Amino acid sequence: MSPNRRERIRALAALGRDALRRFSTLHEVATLLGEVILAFARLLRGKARYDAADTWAVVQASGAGALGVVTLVSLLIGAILAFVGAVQLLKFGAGQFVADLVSISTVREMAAVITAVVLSGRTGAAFAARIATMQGNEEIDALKTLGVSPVEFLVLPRVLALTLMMPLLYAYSCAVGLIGGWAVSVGMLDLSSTLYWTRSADALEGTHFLLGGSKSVCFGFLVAFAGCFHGLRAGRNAAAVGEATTSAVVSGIVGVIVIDAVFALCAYALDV
Amino acid sequence: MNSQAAAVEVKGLRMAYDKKLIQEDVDFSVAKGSVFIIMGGSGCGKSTLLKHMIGLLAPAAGQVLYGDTDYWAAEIAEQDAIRRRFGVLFQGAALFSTMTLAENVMLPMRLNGPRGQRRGEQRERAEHLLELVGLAPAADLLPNEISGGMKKRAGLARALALQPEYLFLDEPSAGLDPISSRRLDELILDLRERTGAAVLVVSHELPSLFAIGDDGIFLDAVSKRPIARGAPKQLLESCDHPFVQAFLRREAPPEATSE
Repeated sequence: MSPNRRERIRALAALGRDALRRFSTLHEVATLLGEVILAFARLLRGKARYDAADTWAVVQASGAGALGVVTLVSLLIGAILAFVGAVQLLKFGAGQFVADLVSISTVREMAAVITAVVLSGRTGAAFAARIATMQGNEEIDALKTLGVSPVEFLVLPRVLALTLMMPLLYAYSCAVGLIGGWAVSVGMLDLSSTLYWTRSADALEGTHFLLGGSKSVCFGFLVAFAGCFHGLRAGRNAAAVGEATTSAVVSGIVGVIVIDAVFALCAYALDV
Repeated sequence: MNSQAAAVEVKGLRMAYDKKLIQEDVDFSVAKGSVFIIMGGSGCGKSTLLKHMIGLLAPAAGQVLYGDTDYWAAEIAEQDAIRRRFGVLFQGAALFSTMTLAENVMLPMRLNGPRGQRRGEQRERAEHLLELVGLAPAADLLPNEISGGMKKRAGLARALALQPEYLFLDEPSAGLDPISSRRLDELILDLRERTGAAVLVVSHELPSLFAIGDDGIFLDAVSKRPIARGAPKQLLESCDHPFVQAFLRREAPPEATSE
């Protein structure tokens, strides 16, 4: 066999192996998703077994625990949007439309996306690290020998907590983002406070909140699911926790952007 | 082989990860009220065998029988029922790091204990078990606040929470100082007397093997099959396999059979 031909076969084999690996990952994702749905059904029937104290701790960490960082990031995003918008809009003598720009982009896009990205780095990573550490310490094995599904005991509480907390954080982020925009508009662009809030109220529609809120629910589920998924499939060595955490953050953020793009396409198609 | 009735029986077990064979033709039975040791050098598949027995990993072939029920051929509900009769001490103790020792011991009672058992009763039993392993004063400490030996003993207390019929111990003495190791051995023998449980121990700690083993099996990493059966003391006296002798006498292994 000629070297060129051998090279081509090797490249083809590598491509095949990569495709099979990706297909196998997809299969694992589908399996975990199915298990989460079944665990949720058991929860609704009152048959799920989980640790209430741990669940409450997760709710607190994912919700109230994230307020500080969400406040800072949302405030700055609102302010940045106002600045960037003002620079362009003032050229056309349309500075008062900064309020429209800040309010619509915050409520419709940025609040949900930025909150999800922040929580992917904070909470999603924490979920992955915690579960991967449990995997390495044989705690997951211990749960299995007690006849308890790790999905029911560890994954479901985390997925539910973040799916429920994300819309609340989204609403909070919207409010803080608008305040950030207001501070720049009033403090630096000489826009009156009343004009800013009036224009914002006029610009915003219920569909903007509906769109942003729906996204935040999907993002919450995705970030928690990615964290738990990578934690559960982690190896049992010291490096595995770091690898699981990195993978959880990367897939969480990429997933958020992809879902946001899908929402944008759907909104465009539906003329929302 | 102990003459009492078999509590657990392994028949024709073949252990493999994908296409890589670990062990085959593994056959043995463990009598009620006896301590059975799974011996062998590092990497021969001792912990994998334990995983097949406690339902964590399906074997490539063969049966693991609890009574008349083959665990791996049983329905999920049956498997759950069998698992509730297990007590397992993992190699690293596997204590839940966010729970105190008492909460760790109470967890099996909360999940699988008798219906209607009040939290106070669970706490009382947990304290009793921790006292049994000499950890009563540490009941409210977290796992990261105690030593490795204490973790092992707390793991043992958790394994005993539901009065198991089958007690599986993975390297119980590994990493312990000789005094703690001796104490743990005495505790295992005491528990066997008191509960009548079938105790399966994975270990290569020689003093422990000789102190507690009533019966056992020796797995070989080279031939990938068991090479000896019997109590460790008995194997030391009568087994003529050079690797078993080298292992039990802590001598340099003969080249042909060593890893």
